[in-house]
Amino acid sequence: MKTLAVLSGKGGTGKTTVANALIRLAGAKAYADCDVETPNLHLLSGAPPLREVFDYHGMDKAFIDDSLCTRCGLCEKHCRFHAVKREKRVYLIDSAACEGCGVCEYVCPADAITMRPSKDGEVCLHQNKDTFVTARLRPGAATSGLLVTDVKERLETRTKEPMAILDGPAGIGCPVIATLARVAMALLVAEPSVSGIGDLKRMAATAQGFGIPLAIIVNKHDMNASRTREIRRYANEEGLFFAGMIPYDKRVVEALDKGGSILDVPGKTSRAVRKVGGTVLREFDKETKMDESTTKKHGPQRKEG
Amino acid sequence: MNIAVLSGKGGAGKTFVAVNLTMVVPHALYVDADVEEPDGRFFFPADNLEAKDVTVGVPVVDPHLCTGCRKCVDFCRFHALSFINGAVRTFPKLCHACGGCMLVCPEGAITECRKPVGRIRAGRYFDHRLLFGELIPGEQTGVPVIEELLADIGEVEHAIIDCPPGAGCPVTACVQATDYCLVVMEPTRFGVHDFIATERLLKTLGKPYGVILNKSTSASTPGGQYCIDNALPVLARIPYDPAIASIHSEGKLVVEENEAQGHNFIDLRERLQKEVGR
Amino acid sequence: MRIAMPVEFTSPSPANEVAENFARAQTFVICETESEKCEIVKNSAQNTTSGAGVKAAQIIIDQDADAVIARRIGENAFDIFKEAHLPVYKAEYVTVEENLAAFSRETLPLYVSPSPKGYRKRRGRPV
Repeated sequence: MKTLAVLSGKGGTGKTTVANALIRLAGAKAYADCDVETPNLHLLSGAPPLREVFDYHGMDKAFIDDSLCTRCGLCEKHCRFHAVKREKRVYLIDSAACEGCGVCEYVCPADAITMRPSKDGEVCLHQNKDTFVTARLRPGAATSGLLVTDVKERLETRTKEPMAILDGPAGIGCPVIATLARVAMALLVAEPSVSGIGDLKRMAATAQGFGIPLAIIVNKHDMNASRTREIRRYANEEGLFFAGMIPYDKRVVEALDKGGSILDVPGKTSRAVRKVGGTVLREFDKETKMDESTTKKHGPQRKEG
Repeated sequence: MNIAVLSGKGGAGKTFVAVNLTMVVPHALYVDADVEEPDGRFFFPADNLEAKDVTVGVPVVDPHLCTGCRKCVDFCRFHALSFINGAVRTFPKLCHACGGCMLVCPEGAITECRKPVGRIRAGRYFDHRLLFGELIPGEQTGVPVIEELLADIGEVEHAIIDCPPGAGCPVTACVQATDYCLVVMEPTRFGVHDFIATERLLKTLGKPYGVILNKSTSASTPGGQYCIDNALPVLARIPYDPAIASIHSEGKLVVEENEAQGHNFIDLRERLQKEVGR
Repeated sequence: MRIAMPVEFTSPSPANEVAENFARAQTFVICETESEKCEIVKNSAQNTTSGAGVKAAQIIIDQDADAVIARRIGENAFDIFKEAHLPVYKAEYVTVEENLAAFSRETLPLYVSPSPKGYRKRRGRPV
């Protein structure tokens, strides 16, 4: 499966709005929301019905059996994550702070501490003729990168579709790195502002090491014409594919609030999105074909017998 | 009073609220804890920034002392150590710096060296102290940078902390160090949905909070309705206005450039003081 | 020679397909080229939260494998195999048997790096 990930670095630049439009324009039958901390793609119309929910377990977390605890305090002393709390005479684990390293279990002389699986979220599979995977991370939980990997793997195993679109998380940390792994192309949705450009550059730096071709679009381009030109120049200098621009339009917010899509906004906005989307999808096609011609990924077909 | 400015959804306007609020609170310290996207620095043309690295400890194995017992390799739950050709090899990117390998090594062959994962820059803008945290691209977690930033706040009258988005572990780290949380909500369906995740986290942590509705398109929005239905204090409303967006996009402070917003933020300060005083 | 390949099966069969993913494959098949015997080793790294590549590579090394055939190899696992002087070949065929045959004919390409560094720059394209 060839995947196109929509990312941005900065939050709120319009990843979900653009991803949703691309899904519709491409007629994609497989898509996922990798923004597991704040998923939104399922709020837009056309999401298939929920079929299955899977529990997601992060690192095992420490658990103190108070009946065995001798109050020696060694666990508190050795925990580097300040996850052992003392309330009066009882030692407790703050599971939000616990990273699951197992040091407390090791140092406990009374064997009062065990490492136990902890449910950190859920993966939701939605399916009819389309396959859509999304997830919910427990608020305050860590290790969201593996949950992203889980989402991507469910999508890959539950459909044989040749292409998929991923709505990515904001930032440049582990969930973004997990989203980037093995995608065929990443589309960066940039915002024409000083902070938008700063985040775009950090995002591009993060994508280094993945060997992934990057395309850029500017959303709300007329908010700041000179910063839009700066992004264009940056794309040019860095050899990134500049796919086009989408204007700032108040009606987009209203359309999305009604569960609609940016494509439902009549006039120049939806025209611009169709044009930009077409350019991105053509580029994606070119990239995936180029990829196939340089590597014999599937190799010769299976022999008989 | 320490105020955390947060939002579930990215791009709701945390930095916008935090930098402008800082300017109307005399002597307030501004802390940029959104270390993955550190944008606060664009709004304060502060020079002479003092920079320091934030480091974490990663293991170093002395090959002369190591007997190859593999206890460290077996202990590490992050798989940051492996045993190849009779020697231990470390993977600093996977290391969480828990110190477990040093504890289990019977030979005392493991020590720690410091590895930089981020940077903190300190400066001043008029009467405001500024602290900017930044994660090195490619590093997995900003929590060590955030923890050091919070420790650097020290004893101050007022600190405004510009938090990371979402409701994950970096947000928890910030919120735990504050007295009151100001949640910036984009009053759209997406915004409300993400706000609920943040709200759940704040309830779990037992922190008082109020709402700022940013980019309000009209008097009745999904966000405004949510606040009415749940009797949440709305401390300020900022309209959806291309003029405001344009000032902010150039890295300028809206309170300095737009009179109406100047008043809006002073009102916010007053309401905030009342809320925190409760 | 002992050749290791990631698979998704619990009993060895020449028709098993080589798994897409190395570190998170369900099992590894280890084939003796001389005796043509194959055994299955469980991949306990499959569901680990952190460092699956490191752990999976450790399992292969501890099995005294002489070479690895995989579709995709991550950076950490690649580094470990390189240090352990274990060659990693690219699986160009679908099944274990086909890849073994190609290995014996010495036609499988060797991985020289896990993945190219840097995003791909475009040359001579209008932007």
